[in-house]
Order: sequence, then structure tokens, then C-alpha cells
Amino acid sequence: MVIYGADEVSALVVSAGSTTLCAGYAGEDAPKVVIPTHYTHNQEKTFFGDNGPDVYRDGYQVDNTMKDSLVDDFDKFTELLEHTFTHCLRVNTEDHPLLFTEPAWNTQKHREKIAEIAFDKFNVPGFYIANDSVLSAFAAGKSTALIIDIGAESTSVTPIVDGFVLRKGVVRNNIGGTQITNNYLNSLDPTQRSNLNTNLIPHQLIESKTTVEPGKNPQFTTRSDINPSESWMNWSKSKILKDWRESTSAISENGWDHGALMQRPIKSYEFPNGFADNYQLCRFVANEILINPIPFNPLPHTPNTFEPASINCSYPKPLPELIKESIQAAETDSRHHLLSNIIIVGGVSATPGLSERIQNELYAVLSNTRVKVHSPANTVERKFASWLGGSMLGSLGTFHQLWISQDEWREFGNPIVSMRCK
Amino acid sequence: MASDIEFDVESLKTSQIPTNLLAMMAENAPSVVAARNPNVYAGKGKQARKWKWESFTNPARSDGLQLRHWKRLDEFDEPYPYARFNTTSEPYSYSEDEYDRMLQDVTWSRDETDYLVKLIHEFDVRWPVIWDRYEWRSGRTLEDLKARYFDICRKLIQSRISSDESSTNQLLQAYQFDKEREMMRKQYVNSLFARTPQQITEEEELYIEAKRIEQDERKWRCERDELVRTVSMSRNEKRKASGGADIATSTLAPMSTSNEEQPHKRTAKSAAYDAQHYITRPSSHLPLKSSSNIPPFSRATKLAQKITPQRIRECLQSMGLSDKLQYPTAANVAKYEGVKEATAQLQEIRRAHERVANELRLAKGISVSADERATASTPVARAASEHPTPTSTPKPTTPAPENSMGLSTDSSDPNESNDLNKRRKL
Ligand SMILES: Nc1ncnc2c1ncn2[C@@H]1O[C@H](COP(=O)(O)OP(=O)(O)OP(=O)(O)O)[C@@H](O)[C@H]1O
Ligand SMILES: [Mg+2]
Repeated sequence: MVIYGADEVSALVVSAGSTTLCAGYAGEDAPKVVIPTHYTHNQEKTFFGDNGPDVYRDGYQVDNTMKDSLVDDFDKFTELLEHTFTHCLRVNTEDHPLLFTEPAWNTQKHREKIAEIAFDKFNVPGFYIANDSVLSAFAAGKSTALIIDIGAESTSVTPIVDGFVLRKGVVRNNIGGTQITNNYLNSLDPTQRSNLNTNLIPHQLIESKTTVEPGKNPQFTTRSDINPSESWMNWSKSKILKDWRESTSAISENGWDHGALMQRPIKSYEFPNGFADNYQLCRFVANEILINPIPFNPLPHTPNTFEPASINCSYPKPLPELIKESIQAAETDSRHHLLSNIIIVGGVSATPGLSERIQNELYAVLSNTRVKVHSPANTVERKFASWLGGSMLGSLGTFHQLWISQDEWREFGNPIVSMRCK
Repeated sequence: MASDIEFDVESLKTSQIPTNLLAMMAENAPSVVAARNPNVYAGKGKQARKWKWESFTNPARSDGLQLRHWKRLDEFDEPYPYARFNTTSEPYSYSEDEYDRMLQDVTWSRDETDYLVKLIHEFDVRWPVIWDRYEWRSGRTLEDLKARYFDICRKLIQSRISSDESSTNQLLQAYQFDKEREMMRKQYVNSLFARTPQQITEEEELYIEAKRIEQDERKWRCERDELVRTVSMSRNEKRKASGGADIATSTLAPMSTSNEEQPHKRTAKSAAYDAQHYITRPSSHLPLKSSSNIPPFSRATKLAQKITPQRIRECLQSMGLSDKLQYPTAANVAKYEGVKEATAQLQEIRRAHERVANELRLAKGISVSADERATASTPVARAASEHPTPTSTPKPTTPAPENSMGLSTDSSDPNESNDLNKRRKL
């Protein structure tokens, strides 16, 4: 057993981003629970997960526990965790050490607060908080890598050397899935956009519909008995739009080439009310904002309200510039390793053509032939890279000496977190 | 494991070898092996091994945290197996006294040194990480940090008493750090990294060009060497031959008395007999030399010329000489070999002459035609006419075969003097 290095102590791994929370047992190859970090609530009640914002309830609002990849509302986040542990995983947290992930721009206050919740509320025997880029590198089997994480609300570039984040090299901007969706909408021509907007109706509101030919006016009736709140409508619409973007958009592998892209197949998408439309060039324009946001007027960054992130979003810069900046901030001798181990992770990395595009862009900027962009072959590994890394780390025999135990927490208090988790 | 479950070893063997590998090993092996299920139920009678969800403590921790894992009941209690991986690179640290005595440095305060050493311990001498987290005073380069730490290490090694002198020296060697050089190296690496694409392509082109020039040069030199060799061969031989005669006379006396030269001991009587009947016994450890028996090295050098014994014979016959000697005494044979050698050389030189003459004619032809087009002469043609190519150097006068007859020996023969001695002994 020792030769595999694994010794499972049934640790729990929780990884929360701006939009998604993944949780499961260390040692497994996919998270058991993947739920939104959003919740729905009125004055008295709050609902989470699959039973949360996806379900229509009269007079309920939708809000997010997270912002800027950091916990924004700790009370609700604690409830979200409780929901995850008791209703989804159905575990008694007193029996399971808890491994948490954090982005590189997490703050001291945030991580101490999470540790406090873990020990005082959930009574975990051990706790550890690990950087999600380090874990993504572990998931790819590397201890030195340059991680490009493109999530829902941000793109970050993090150099990892020997399993440690090089803090000076962490750069990020606020371009993520949400901004891409916005950009996709903006790039549609006016008639197509207004068609889409009028037909953007969540399925919960639709009473009945009949199938029609593509391009024809949809035949449907809406329910008249319900009156959704604005926040719920926004959530539901953005969910439809997210799905629309994920299933139609792609990125040109070799830079913008109008002629070649016109030859690419058209994609059509059917919205919940039966309306269907075709998308051609715009579906490539959408993702260009990832590579160079400047021409697209990206939305301004909204900071976390609990405590602003420890590393600020840069003014939106082209991604190759970000990478170059990050590499330059790293120590000279590690640059070579970093450049040949670039790994793209995060939900948006599943966009077709993205890793080829980034590879090509980097060739052009760095003119270094050793640049190598890796990206895990299957989408589960890309989307849940940091959770997977946590799953590996949490089941390693040699890792068990690193847990912060209850005793240590009682003895040293908050400072133990930054003493142990570097 | 193996004791619990009985595998059908035979079927396992065949089924585990990939069929294509099997095909290589045995010609008559069946192309498809019907795999029998290994008999996994062989151990049916036995009870399944017992495991227990058990708590354990990790000796690598100081707080005695109890975690739980699955444990085999038949295994002995042993300390947690992963605890022994809890190792460090054992960085150096110093005592109060040691610092005061020898580690003070004007550019480093005690506090900053402490901070540096703390970081080194914290990150286990991972320099890129240490440098990244170093937040004392901006402006310290990684080389500054390394220089300081390695300096401290060296001083500590020297001061701490060690039983073994050589291991101390070895340690000192390991902690040697040349800051200037390291900075220079970094500078080079950085400038390599900062090259623009244009610079890189330019560099690549230059490199290819340089390689090409080098190759041309080598080829040119190769051709010239070959020419020089063929041309100078006969001259050398003449010189050597006359010099060789001197050597032969001067070494005559010791040679005749030395018995080591003779592999088989000859009695005085048989020697007299031989002398009387003009019998020469070849010493067996000297290779037999003749134009028809060229040793491998000389054959290799002459391979290009391809002067075969056949050609030599033809040439001799054309001069009215037969290839058989009527009285093949040692002296005659030697002379005859000389004639053959000379003929071979004659052939070679003739051929070289022809080639050079051809090239000369060609070059002249170009320059003539270039002159004809006097108004627009290409640079190549001009170059050819202005600088005659090395192959068109004045050719040497061909020596008459009679001149070298009887005197010339194989120029490539390193045992030339021996050969001469042998002849002298007649
Ligand atoms: N197959 C796909 N193609 C394109 N985009 C996808 C795909 N699957 C998920 N996404 C996008 O990935 C984003 C979510 O990614 P991820 O879960 O990594 O973000 P997060 O970690 O919650 O956010 P962040 O990293 O910004 O804190 C969403 O915007 C989603 O639309
Ligand atoms: Mg993320």
C-alpha cells in the first residue's frame, strides 16, 4: 500500500468558485456534489442546491454566497455547507477532516473565517486550506506549472513551483464565462439580439408549447398565475444564456480569420419556448474577449464585500500579456519549466479550440519554441481540476501530518492557518 | 496476496503475453489464445481477510491527532508508515554565540539574516519560492540571498568540529557560491529570454549560414589535402629513399648482431648455407610488402585512385616487361617491387594530372566565355578568372619511372628503415 502513497482517511474535499460548489470524498475521481453557490430565499426560508434557485417559488429572491471567487456572505455560505454535508453527502462532519480550496487572492480574514466555521460549526477533526491552482497542477501530475484558470468571473494566471504559489507572479483579470456571455449577446446583430431577448423565457414560466420549424415564430403560452422576482428572472435567464453559449460558441484556433470562420458550420440552438435560431460568426466573436478584452469594453470589476481580494484584478489586458507578465515575475531559472508546463483549467477551458489558440498566441508573443500548453483531455478533469487535486492530496499518506487539528486550533487560534497552509 | 488466491499459472502466462509478442517468439504459436478464466474461486474455502476501520496516530505530528483508516487485522501494529517521509533538507541554523563571533556582515542586519534563515527552513531551501516570499527589503536579488546563506553555511562548517577532514572539505565545496558568475549567467539567460522574434529568426539564419560556410570550408580543405598528397608523394619518396640509405648504413652493425629480429633461431651453419645459395628468409613478423600486397591502411588511402595490380601489370606489359622474374632472388624481387611501385605512382600522377588539367580547362573555358561576354561578366566568372581555384595550381613535373626505379619504396610504410635493413642483409 505504501508504494502508491495513498492512505484514505475519508477526508472531505470542498471547492467553491464564483458559481459552482463541488464537494466529495478525497480519493474519488469526481465530486459527488456539484451545486450552484446561489441560493433562493424570502424573509423566513432559504433553499440551496438542486432544490434552490432552479425551483420557482413565489416571491423568492436569488442571491449568491460568493463574489470574486471569495466567500461574500458567510452566514449563507455556512448554510450552504450545511446543506451540502447533511443533505447531499449525508455525513457527520465530526468524523471527517475537511480540505478546502482557495484562490491565490484569498485574504487572511477569509481563510481564518472558513477555518473558524469548520472547527466551531462543523467540529471537523482536521482542516486544511489549499490553493486551487496548486491542486490543479497536482491533478495534472505536476508540481511546477503555470496554471491558467478561466472560471465564471475571472481569468487568473498562477505560477506554481515545487507545489508553492509564486505570489508575485499571480495576475488576473475579470474576464470569465459571464463576460463571454455578455459579449456574445453584444456581438449579435440587432434583429437577432432582439429576437433572442423576447424569447428568453425560463421554462418554469411556460405553460405549453408546440414545436415549430427553425426560424418560424414559436408557438407557446406562458403561465399567467406567477409573478417572479427580478433576481430570480435574472438568474434563470443567465442560466439559459450560459447553456446557449456553452453549446454554440467556440474560438478560432489561429487568430481571427473572417474568411475561414465563415466556412465553419452554423450552430443552431432551441430556447425553452421553442424558438430556434442559427449562429455563425458571432459564436466565434464571443470568445475573443478572452484573448484580448480591450476592444470589447468589458464590464467593470465588482469587489468582494466581506474583504476585497488580496490581489487585484488588472485592468483587462490581453491574455498573452498576462501570461508574459506572470512569467517575468517568476525567478529566472523557473521560467523555462513554467513555460513548458502551461495548464488550462476552469469551466471555460472546455471551449472548443481554446488551448490551441492560447498555444498559438503564446508562440507569437514569446517566440519561445519550448512553450507547451497542456489541457486535460476530458471535461470533468478541466472543470473540476482543483477539486480533483484536492481529492488526491487529501488521500495521500504523507499529507496527514499537515492537517490542522482541533487541538492545534484551540491552542494557537487563527494564526495557525497561515502558519500551516502556505 | 499470492498465497490466498491460487491462479492457474499456465493460462495466466499465455494470456498475459501480448499476441504479437508471442508471434515473434514462437512461429507455431496460435494467433489467438483462448483465455481461460483464472480460477479465482480456488481459495473459496478460506475466509476473506479482515479489515478494520481503525484510528491511528501519526508520529510525524506533535499533537497526537487521531484519524481513522482501514487497517488489515493480520498486520502487526507498526508506527504509521508514512511518518518516515517526514524529512527535510536540514538547512543550517546558528546559535546566538556563533552569529556574534563570525557571521556578522555590514550589509545584513541580524534581524534580516534571521528572517532569511527562517524562510529557508520554512520552504526547505526552495530558492524560487523563498525569493518570491521574501519581503524584507525590496532590491535584494536571489543571488544576494544565496550568497549570504552559503557564506553562513561555509563559516559554520569551518567552525564546527568535524572528525573527518575530507568530508568537511567536500561540504565546503558543495556550499561554494560564485555570486558574480551566477549573476552573469542570469543576465545571459534573461537576454536570451528577451529576444524579439526578429532577432531569433536573424540568429537562426546566421547560424545556418555559418554552418554552411564551415561545411564548404571542410570540403574545400579535404579536396586540397588530397591533391597535395598525390602531388607530393613522389618527391617525398625520393627524399626519404636517399635519407633511408644513410639510416640503413648507420644501423647496419647493430641490426646484424641482434637476434631478436629473427623469429626462428638460425644456426650459424644454416646462415652460411643461405648466404651461399642466395636464400633470404623473410622474418615472419614483418608484413610482406609488395604492390600486390598492400597493407590495409595504405589500401584505404589509395582506395580513391584504384590502381589495381591488374592495371600495373598491364602497364608493365605495355612497356615490354613481363610480370614474372626469371631469377627471383631477394634483390631482384625487391627491385621488381620498386618498379611496380613506381608504375603505380606514375599511374596515379597521370590521373591526377588529367583531372587537374580538366579542371583548368573548364575554368579557363568559363573565363574565356566570360571574357567573350566582356560587357556583362558575372561575379562568379570573375572570381573564377581572377582567383584561380586551388585545384588549378601548377602541376608537378612527372618523374620518369626509371628515375625512381630501385630506390623508391612504399612511402606509406612506417617500417621503411626495417625494410631497407632487410635488404641490406642480403
Ligand atoms: N462546456 C463548456 N463550455 C464552455 N464554458 C463552460 C463549459 N462548461 C462550463 N463552462 C463555463 O465555466 C464557468 C464555470 O467555471 P468554473 O466552475 O471553473 O467557475 P468557478 O470556479 O465557479 O468561478 P471562478 O473560478 O471565477 O471563481 C461558467 O461560466 C460556465 O459557463
Ligand atoms: Mg474557479
